[in-house]
Amino acid sequence: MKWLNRVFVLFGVLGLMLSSCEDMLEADYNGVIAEEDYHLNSPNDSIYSMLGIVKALEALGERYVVLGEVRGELLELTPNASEDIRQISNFEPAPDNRYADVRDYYAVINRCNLFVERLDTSIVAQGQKVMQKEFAAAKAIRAWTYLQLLLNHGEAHYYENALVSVLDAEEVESKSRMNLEEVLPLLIADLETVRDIPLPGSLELGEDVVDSRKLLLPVRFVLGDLYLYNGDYEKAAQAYYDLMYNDFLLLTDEYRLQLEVVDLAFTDYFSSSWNQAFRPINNETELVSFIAGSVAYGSSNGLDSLFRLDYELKPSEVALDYWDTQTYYHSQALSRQGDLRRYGSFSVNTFYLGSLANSETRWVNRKYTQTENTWAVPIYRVGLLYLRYAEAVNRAGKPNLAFAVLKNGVSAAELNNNSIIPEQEKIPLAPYMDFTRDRFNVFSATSEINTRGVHSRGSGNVHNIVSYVIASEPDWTLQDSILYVEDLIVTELALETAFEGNRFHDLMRVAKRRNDPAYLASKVASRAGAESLRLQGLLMDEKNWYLPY
Amino acid sequence: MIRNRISNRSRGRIFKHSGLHVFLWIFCLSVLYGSLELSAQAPAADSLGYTVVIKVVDANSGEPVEAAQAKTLLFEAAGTSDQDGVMSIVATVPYDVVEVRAFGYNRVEVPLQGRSEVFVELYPDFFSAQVGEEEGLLANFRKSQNPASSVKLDAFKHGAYLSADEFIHGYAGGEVRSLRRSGVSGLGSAMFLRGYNSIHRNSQPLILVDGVPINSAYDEVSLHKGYFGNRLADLSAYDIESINVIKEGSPIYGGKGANGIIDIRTKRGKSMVTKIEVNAFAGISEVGGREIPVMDGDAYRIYVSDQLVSAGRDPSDLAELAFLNDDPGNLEYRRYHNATDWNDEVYRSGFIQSYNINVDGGDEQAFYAFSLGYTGEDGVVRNTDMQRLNTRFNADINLRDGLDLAMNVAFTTVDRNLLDDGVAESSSPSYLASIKAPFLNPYTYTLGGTETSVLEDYDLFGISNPNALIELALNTNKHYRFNVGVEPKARLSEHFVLSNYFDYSLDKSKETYYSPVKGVAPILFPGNDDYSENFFRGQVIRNVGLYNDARLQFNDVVNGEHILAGRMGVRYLMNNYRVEYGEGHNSKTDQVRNLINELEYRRVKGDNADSRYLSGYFTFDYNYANRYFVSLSAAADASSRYGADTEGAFDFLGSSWGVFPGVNAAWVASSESFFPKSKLLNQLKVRAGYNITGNDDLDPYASFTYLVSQRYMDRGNGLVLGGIGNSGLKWERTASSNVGLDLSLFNNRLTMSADWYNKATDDLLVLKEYPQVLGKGHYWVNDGSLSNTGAEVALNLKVLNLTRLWWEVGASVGHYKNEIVGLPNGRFTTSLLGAELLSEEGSAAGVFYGYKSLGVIQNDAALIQQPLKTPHVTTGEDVFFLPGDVLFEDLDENNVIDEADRQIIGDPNPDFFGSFNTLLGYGNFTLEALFNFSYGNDIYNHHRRSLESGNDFRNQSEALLYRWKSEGQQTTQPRAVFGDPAGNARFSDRWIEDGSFLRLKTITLSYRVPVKTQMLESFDVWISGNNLWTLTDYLGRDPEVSAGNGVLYQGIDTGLLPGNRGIVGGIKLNL
Repeated sequence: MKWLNRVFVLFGVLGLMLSSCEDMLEADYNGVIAEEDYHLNSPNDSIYSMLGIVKALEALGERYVVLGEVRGELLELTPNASEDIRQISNFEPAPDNRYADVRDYYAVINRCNLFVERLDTSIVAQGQKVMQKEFAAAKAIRAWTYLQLLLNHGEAHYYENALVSVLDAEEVESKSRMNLEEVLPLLIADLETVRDIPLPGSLELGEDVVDSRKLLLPVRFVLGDLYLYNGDYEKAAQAYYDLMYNDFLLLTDEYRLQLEVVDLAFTDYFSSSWNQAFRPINNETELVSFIAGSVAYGSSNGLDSLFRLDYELKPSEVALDYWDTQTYYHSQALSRQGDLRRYGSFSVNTFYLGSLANSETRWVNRKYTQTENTWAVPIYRVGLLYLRYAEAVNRAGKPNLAFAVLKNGVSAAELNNNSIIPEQEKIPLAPYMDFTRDRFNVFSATSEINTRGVHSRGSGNVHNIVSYVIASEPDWTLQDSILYVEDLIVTELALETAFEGNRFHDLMRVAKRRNDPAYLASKVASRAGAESLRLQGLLMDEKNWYLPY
Repeated sequence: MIRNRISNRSRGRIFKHSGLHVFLWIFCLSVLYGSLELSAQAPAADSLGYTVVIKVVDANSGEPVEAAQAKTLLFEAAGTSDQDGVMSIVATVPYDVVEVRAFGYNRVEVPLQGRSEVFVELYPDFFSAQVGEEEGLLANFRKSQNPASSVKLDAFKHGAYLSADEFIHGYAGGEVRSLRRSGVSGLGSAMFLRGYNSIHRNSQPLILVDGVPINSAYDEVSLHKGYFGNRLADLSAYDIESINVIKEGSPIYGGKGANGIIDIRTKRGKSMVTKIEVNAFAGISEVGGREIPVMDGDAYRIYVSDQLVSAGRDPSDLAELAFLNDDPGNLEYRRYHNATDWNDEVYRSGFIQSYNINVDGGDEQAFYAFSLGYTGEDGVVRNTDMQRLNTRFNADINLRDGLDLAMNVAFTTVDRNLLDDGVAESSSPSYLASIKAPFLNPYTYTLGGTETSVLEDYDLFGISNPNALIELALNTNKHYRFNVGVEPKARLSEHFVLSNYFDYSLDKSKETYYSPVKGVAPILFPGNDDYSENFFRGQVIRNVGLYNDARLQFNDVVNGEHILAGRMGVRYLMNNYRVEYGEGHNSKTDQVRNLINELEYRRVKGDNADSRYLSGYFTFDYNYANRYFVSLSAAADASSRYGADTEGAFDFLGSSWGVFPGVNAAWVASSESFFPKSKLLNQLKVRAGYNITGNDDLDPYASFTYLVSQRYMDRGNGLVLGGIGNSGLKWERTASSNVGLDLSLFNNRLTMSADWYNKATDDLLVLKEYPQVLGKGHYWVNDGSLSNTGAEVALNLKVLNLTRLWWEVGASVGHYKNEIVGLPNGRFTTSLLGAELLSEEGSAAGVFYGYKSLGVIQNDAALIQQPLKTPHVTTGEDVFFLPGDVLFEDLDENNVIDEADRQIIGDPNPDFFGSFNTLLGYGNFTLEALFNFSYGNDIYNHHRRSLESGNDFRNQSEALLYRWKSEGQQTTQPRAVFGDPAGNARFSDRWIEDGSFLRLKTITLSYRVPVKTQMLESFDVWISGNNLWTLTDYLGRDPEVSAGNGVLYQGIDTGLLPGNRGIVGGIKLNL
């Protein structure tokens, strides 16, 4: 039975082999990180992951502009418009419309949830809880994304845990969806815990994005918006104010369009630094946040196709009217019809369609930008911040302060001037209107102006113009003035932020606040020509404001 | 009685199919009957046995065969015939079988059947051997006793084969459905055994070389369009000893066996006599098939002018265009007035040469086989070539008593220069030859009108110059494979053998691809208005395989009649597959043809897919008296690709294990004493089997949730959720039932093997969309089932056996019916190369799903009555059909031709297919012909569609000469309109054709030179023709098509190079 011994030896060897079997079946996946091994406990990990969130956000850039503007009144379709765009514009989106896909929002939300769940916020380096900033930034992006989803689709599945299996996801979907009113308090509560945490440090991302912080969203801006939708106007004002102060965001005269004046007459030449503001490459102070992506081979810029290459969209007559009915003032004596921001918002290009066809004139949106490597869609910028602030303080009962944001700018001088801001609006002085602090008055020592009115960016020196005031009728109440200023703000939003993606939601917010669907319906219908009655009727029903879910 | 009922019911559960069930009952009853017979007979044989007189004669002449040897297979007895061809042996039992052999003749097996005198006729060894020992998956067995369904192909005689799959293609056409990938040498074929057992994952058989699974990388993507890095081309056909096609995937390969197994063995040393075999051949070839004829320069000029007008160009402007200006005084006249046959620019005569030497021999201590081979080919497309160098050394060493060591070492390099092939507008010279304007010239002219050697740039229609690609491309594939295997084998005792096979292999391919500036149309970057003017791509693929198989074998014979064999073992396989890819654009000069930093739009990517597999297996074979055979086997598999929480698996060592059992049984009825002793029916074996196997070709990342790095902007990388895993993911499970019959008839003149099978696959791997809250994406689930039912018949007939004239014919025919039984949503469609493929319950996977055409709308009359419209492809706006457009069937009768009007318009699966061969010998001459055929399969002719759509400036087929131009014109060819607004060229039955064909694949004449010296054992010369004749109605280049390795790619013709037509001559020397 000598062989039996050998068999025993064999089984011994096999046994040894099997004891290490667990390793034998463990494949090395060098290119990927298994979810269970995903823990964020060093700043490097968190940057890498933060960029993952931003990468997911990329899918929402084009969508933001399309859903915000194609449904608003400032754009209309060209005959080239694709079926999907047509449906969006007509408020008859099919469920498979590519702009009506909720999944891209959830991809961002789930990525944020995973980040927040796995981030070790207790890590301290150089006396700071270094991971806190990323933690806050991820929450801000998550809240913003939820807000977009709810504004566009009306409902959403709300979840805070990271979904890492299909079963988890199915459980979330088995619960009923919530609407904006239900979700807002949850998002607000979530962001209030991190409201004072600043953005993480900057990182240079290639040639075009000099400051990676601009790819993130400041907590206070998002929080301000949430408050605004929730009707918490003072809190909204405070959040915007804190952002202005802490991040030093002043609306100065830097980004203006100005007509050249020679011998007390306008020439046709105008200078513009306004469009510089939209370029991520220049690290401009105007731009607070943008969604950006690469235009490298294989990754395309949908907006460039919509506005330029395929030419599916162009400015509407209504949009042109908004600019053209304004008055540009050099001084009280020298003025001209038209707000110059028209020329900063789109350009007129001649397009050659190859050797075998003719050329064509195309009106191209100048607000999205594309450099050699990058496209970018502005989400937040200083002009918008001031207009949102104005909207908040107006509704907080301070229409003159709000109007000052449009006309004069806000710093100590304006605040102290009772003809600009009457006493009843500043006694007692709310903390969100304390513009006497140094940061708002850095240029006081020089002849330069600290802050400008938003309207002056395209309409000249309006702060000196007596006729540009809050209109008033004898029997007007404060509420009437508020409504008047709100209308001005809505118009100013068109003049300043046309084509940037905010329009439809701005109209929605005001219409809801006023409980007046016609406010939105008639504005949107105004672009539709023969179709306007149909559109007006459709939009009187609030459920048609939303895309199918 | 009660026992019978129980066994009946339990069998009923296992064997779902009633036909099989009935058969098995008959089988079991026969066994019972046989054993009763046995018990009745057994006492009759005395312990010393009885004497059988065997007379051996030549089957033709009837002359006695002297020195023929006979031996019994069960109880040892042997004899040698005298000059009268007579011998007597003492058999122990009356149901034994004798094997008779003689020099120059084929062996035969003769059942004694209790006879005391046996008359044996032998056929010369010109004919294919029908009996003998064969190498099975785990052990040798006798062909006549194999209970499983398989077909064995022996080493071939003559011919210019480069790889094993070409050989299978020729000889096992009915048993392996093999679809040639393209005419480029060594690309082999996509092979499918018994239908398609998967829809989305690998359906091709497991390939074993000397027992080691080869990573066939079936889904590998080459940089070169139309090219596939065929791993079988690493193995020289001269090194192959045998190819065993195991159709009924043996369960011992468990989760890898569902698609069947192709078991290739290389040559080993067998005798101590040193043998040297030298093979050499050389030949020429031309592009095969039949080109789709295209318009000449004048016809094209008219066509392209029409297109320009329909594109909105003012007709009065046209005269300005240089190619329409017929004034010889025009500066550009020479450029635009040529009569170029672009096929002459692209194709040439190919040349192939191959030299191989095989040496084997040995001594008491060791046997060895050594080979060295070189094959070089210049392809039929200019500037394409292939060079292969291969060497192999196999040794079997006896270390000491009871301890052996087998060793295999092999190294192969294959270097190729390639060009894109098939429908590829800017990169495939063979396609460009069809679409390029015939009035253009590849080279420029001087002002004086003399042709220069300067290449023309791409033309004003945006079509590249094929000569530029041929001259400036740098498209290479360099591949090598090295493997070394060792197998110590210890005989532990008389009954036990312990062995351990270890193999290491390294496969590496390096590819470069360069698209030149000069002559090649720039490519618009998607979604961008920037162009790629030239680009370089590089790719390195590396696979390291480690394989270990530890095995204990047991053999015993109890009482001489109960033959037992068992094997158990543990098998481990690890593959590390790594791809690195880089690309960059716009160096803007053809001087720099590699990946440099200065390139634009650079990107790199890679994959590193590791997979590990562990399997424990056992088989137990029981053979009673060489008449009844039962083989049980089972394997338990674990794989790194299986999910951790797999249902239907057991947990062990932290992994999920699947279990794959099987049983195969056979009854050699002809050995029974009661079997009629007739010359009509010499041998009868019935087989039946039921096996459960799996397909473990899971996506390596599908069973777990992971994060992956994605490029963000031009510098950053972001970590995103790469995939949400399904931890319950498992193999596709196939349960197959098989019944078969092996017959030898008419005094062994006709042998036949027939099989019927049913394979039921469930747990199909399908992609499902994530729940919406996870974002966009898909995950794999096991959901869905399909079946393949079919039959195979293989025949071999010795037609003539005369003194100097012999003729043998063989045929194999196969049929399968693929049917989807269940799918998550009942159906899905797949878009592939412009086709829509429908997979739906109740029909086969991937049938053609499109519009049905009812001719061309001849005039307005009908349209005024009932305007027919269709949504525009991009804007969705209504487009009305006009006279000259194709009338498509409006299924839902709503006067709108849209997706709802699609229907099944074709099925790529054949009714039957196969091959046949004839072998005719006259004296020293042998003439062999191989035919293959397919009947009843449809082909989507993507290639012809691109040449008959008539919607842009590409040159088109001559069919466009008959395009509709005016009302009242009777034609079947619709009008040609730029952009095709009405969608006349949409995926419709216009592009579906019957792909039936019969082809003379090869015909070979060889002559054995009658010299025989001490040095030279034999000397053969041969000449062979390939693809010389094809019978088909198919309009494309070649009805043998395979657009890829996936199931859904079969039956799509992308215009790849047809199999070359050529003549090759060679010699074979045995020293």
